[in-house]
Amino acid sequence: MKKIALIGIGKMGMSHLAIANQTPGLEVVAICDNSKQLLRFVEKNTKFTGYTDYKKMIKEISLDGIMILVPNAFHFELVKYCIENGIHVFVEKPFTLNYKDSELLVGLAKNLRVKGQVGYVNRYNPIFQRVKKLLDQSVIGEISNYINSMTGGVILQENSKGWRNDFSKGGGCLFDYGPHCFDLSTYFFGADVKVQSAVLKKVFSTAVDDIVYATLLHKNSVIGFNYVNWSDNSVRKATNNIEIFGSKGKILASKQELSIYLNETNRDLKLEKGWNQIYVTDENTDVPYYLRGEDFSRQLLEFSDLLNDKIEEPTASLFSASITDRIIEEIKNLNKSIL
Amino acid sequence: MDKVIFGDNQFFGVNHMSEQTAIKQAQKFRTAEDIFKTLQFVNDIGIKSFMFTTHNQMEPVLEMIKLDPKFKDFKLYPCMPYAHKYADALVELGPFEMINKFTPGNKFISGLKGVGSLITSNPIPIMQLLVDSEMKLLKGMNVKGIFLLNIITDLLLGLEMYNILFEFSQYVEKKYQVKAGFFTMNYVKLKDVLVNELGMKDPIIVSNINKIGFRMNPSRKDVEGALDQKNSYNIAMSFLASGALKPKEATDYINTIPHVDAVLFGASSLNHIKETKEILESVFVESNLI
Repeated sequence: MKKIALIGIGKMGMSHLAIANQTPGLEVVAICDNSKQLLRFVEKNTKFTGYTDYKKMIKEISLDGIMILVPNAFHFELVKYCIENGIHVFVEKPFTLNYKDSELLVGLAKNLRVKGQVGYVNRYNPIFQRVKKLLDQSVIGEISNYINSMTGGVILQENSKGWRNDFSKGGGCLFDYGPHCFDLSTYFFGADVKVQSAVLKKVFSTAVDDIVYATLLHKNSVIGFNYVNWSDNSVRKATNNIEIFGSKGKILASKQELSIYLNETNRDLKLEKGWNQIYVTDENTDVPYYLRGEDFSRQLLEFSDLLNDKIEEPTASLFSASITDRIIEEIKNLNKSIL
Repeated sequence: MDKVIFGDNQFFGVNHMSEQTAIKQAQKFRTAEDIFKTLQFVNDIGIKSFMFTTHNQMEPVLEMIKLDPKFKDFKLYPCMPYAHKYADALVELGPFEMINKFTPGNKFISGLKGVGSLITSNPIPIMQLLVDSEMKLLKGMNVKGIFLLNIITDLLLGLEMYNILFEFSQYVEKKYQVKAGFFTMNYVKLKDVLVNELGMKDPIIVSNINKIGFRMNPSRKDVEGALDQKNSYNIAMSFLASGALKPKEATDYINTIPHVDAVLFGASSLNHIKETKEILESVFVESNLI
């Protein structure tokens, strides 16, 4: 059983806490947050010990891992402190707010033999994992190009105040939705990637972007169009759609379903010529504890495996997350102003 | 409770398998009249129980049900908190922000209850406040049970805040004189807590029970094993696995599982509703009568 603590019980913290507490191989011993009210509540109603100072917490209790769930702008400082103290980390996405910081942390973790995982939850989605497998098996032949989109309704009216309208605090669609979209692209097509072109556009925000168009080039051969929009009111929750074109067919996928078009029958995988359909209900989605979708449970199961030395590298590693940060930085550098 | 219960996911664009199906369903049920018409059909063909989240859009529909004498024996099972509104807020904002978000604007007394609850760090009064605020919608209606949605049941389960589950059940039974029920995606864990930790007698649990084991956590085998013991009242949901199964094979499976006491299902087309109801009645209900 590996002892862990969570820092930051805001936004997603409460559900992470519940999931971590139910993940085999992990034992949540403490939480840290700067809200005293929250800590009092948690201490009175749960078995977890509360801290307001993470340095004090790390000094006082022996921990194998820490989950860092604080606002994006504090990721670097906290991850660095944990790594320097030899504690394995899980950090919510994005890894940090600039590539230099992420690169530094990847190097530091490697030198100090500390393991790390970043909250790119799409990598734990059963359908996307199936897509990855199909691509690795070259089921649709050689990949030439793809269209990857992520849309949702986060900013639907004027956004002129607060952290969401401030790049330095991790605001803007590029920093908020962008990471999930680009990370999915590098998961499927590789981290050998550069940004060919990009445009940022405002709709409701005044100082940050609401829409991102970016063309990525992977391994100098796969070209991909990435479209991110956090001002789409038509979808019930964040929606990812990807269309992948190969020499032997194509794949269309979302979090729930997957269609494969094949030029020829694939007998080994029992896929017909023409369209084939796979639903999330066809996949094994069993998890020991379910709260907000199996993706979140599977993500923490892997963190448990990482801490318990069952794996060396997680599917969403510090390195792969640092590449996503590089993509974001390149896009930002290409756009000195926002349309 | 009736053996066949009608659900509401299709009315609000929820489909676990396909985004396109969800969009089509959302188009079909644009207005309160669209929803009400389907419920009239459901009532006419003899499904007399309706389980629904206390969603904003349900408000005018409930008014129509109230005014229609044909719905006199139609039983309502509200599931709360209100369509994930509080639940999402709780998960996303944390308990304090959530209370800040929902208590201002409420009556003075509610504010006091909420604030008092904050000062003492006791979540029970907040829970009671939320139940009461949801139940306002249903005043004077034929409510036969009050259910806690899985996002909250499972969150409390995950945090091991079991006493709130117990207090919810006590409060509902005392104040509203109806049974409490729990939705969950973690049937095995929840039943163990309700029965063994909290000593509840035959708690009502709604969970996924279907032939392909979709979202039967931790596994279909474990859920089937736990269903073997008769110490809870079990309602199967997602028995059609969001459309992955045909009603006949889905019902045949349910029939092989001991102690499934009722089935909750939803469908958007009138034909599907009728077909599913008839199959459930001829296979599942018949065999349960014996």
